[in-house]
Amino acid sequence: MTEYVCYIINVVLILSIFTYSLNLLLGYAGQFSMATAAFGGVGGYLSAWMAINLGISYLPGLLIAAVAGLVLGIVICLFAIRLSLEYLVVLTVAFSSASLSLIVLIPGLGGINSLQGVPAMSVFGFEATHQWQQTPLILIPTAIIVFMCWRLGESPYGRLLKSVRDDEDATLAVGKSPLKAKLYMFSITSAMAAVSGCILGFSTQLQSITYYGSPKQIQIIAEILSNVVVRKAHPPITSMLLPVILRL
Amino acid sequence: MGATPGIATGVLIGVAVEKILYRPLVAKAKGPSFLQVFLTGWTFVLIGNSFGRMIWGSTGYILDTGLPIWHISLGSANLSSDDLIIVSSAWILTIATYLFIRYTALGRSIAAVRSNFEMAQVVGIDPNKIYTIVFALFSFLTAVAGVFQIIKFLVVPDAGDQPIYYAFVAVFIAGVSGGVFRFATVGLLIGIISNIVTYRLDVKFSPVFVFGILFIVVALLPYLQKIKISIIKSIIRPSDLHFKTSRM
Repeated sequence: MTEYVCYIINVVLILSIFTYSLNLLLGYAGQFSMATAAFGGVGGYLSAWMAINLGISYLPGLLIAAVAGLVLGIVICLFAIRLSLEYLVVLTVAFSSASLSLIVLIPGLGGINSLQGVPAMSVFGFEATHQWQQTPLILIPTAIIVFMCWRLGESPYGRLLKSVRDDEDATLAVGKSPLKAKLYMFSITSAMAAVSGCILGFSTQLQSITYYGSPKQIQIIAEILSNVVVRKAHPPITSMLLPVILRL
Repeated sequence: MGATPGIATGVLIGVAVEKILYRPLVAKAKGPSFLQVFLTGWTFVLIGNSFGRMIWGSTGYILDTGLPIWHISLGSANLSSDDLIIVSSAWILTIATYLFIRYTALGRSIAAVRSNFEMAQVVGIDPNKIYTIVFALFSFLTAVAGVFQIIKFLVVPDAGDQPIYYAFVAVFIAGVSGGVFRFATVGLLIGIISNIVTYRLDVKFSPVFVFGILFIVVALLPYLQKIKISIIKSIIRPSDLHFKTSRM
């Protein structure tokens, strides 16, 4: 029972990272991305492959996933930065579909049968093979990311993001660059999503394309939108509801 | 025989979705409602697929239409009677749609609502009625495409997913304000590319190429528009524009 409860907690924490990252991008910067789950897939598969083939452990895996997500987010954002909302959605849908289809095709990534044999989370020689052992190892990066999101959102930089969301022309008129703000946010949130994918892989010791498809993306969006349902409660509470309900 | 009730059901569902889901969303939205409608539609597809799997299972089966099957050879290509019926019906429906939009009063009303919503209302066109008719027409065409899909391939709950995703790609590559024949031409090109990739490489590469093309087109869109404007400017020289002045 404890194992199952800890498994639910771990799933909630991992999904919280996805939710917070998309909430920061959409809620503060006004940029909608359908590629959050796909960034998670890229980070997750990259760190899993390196763990299996190069012996990379959990902490370096997180860093590698974050850097990969950051770089990919910058590349995508350079194309997306001048697009209207509709075409941004289309671009991110195209990227998500193409990248996930490509992952299935790459030899050595398991195809549709999943990439198996990801080693357990290991930190300074301690191997977390049980769910209750993994919980603190998942909680720490989640707490760091949540803190980063909170600081970014509630700081003067957060006010800049809100002004970019509300009126780009006014933001430009006061001498701030909306394009730079969008670029930073897109890349940072992509890195966060990639870290979440990495944690998911190490937690389940498996990477599967079903973790990152359009149902996952819709679930992430539903968790953000459920803010409205629970009267704009803090995201972790709403992120908790959906995964718990789905597993009851 | 089963096609007619199936298509009728598809039309009813399409009209019901427009009235019950989309119309209230658009009415409540304070600005453009593309995002809300897009997410709702995508979620409805996922829900529909899940219900289909719950009711009929995931195992596909081949539909026996009961029609006689014969083949013709065009060089090294073998076409079946089903292929010919599907292709000819598709072009007949495309031409019929074009003629309907272009030459009927209802078609002109649809074009009027699309180009200038407020002016269309001023001249007495009811936009809600037009939206219902458009959704009925769209659902009819999609249902017919679904029937063709299950005749050609397998009967499975998510049989419509790939065609609708490729149609989505064709619409955005052709440009959302393009005409019927433009969509048909781009759709044909997408189909040709998909089949060439399937034949030369593997069927699994097809989504990568199709969504990759969409990504490239959408990413380059702002730059293509700039090139188009500069080409137009270079063709129209200021000295070509003569203004007549008259003393009043």
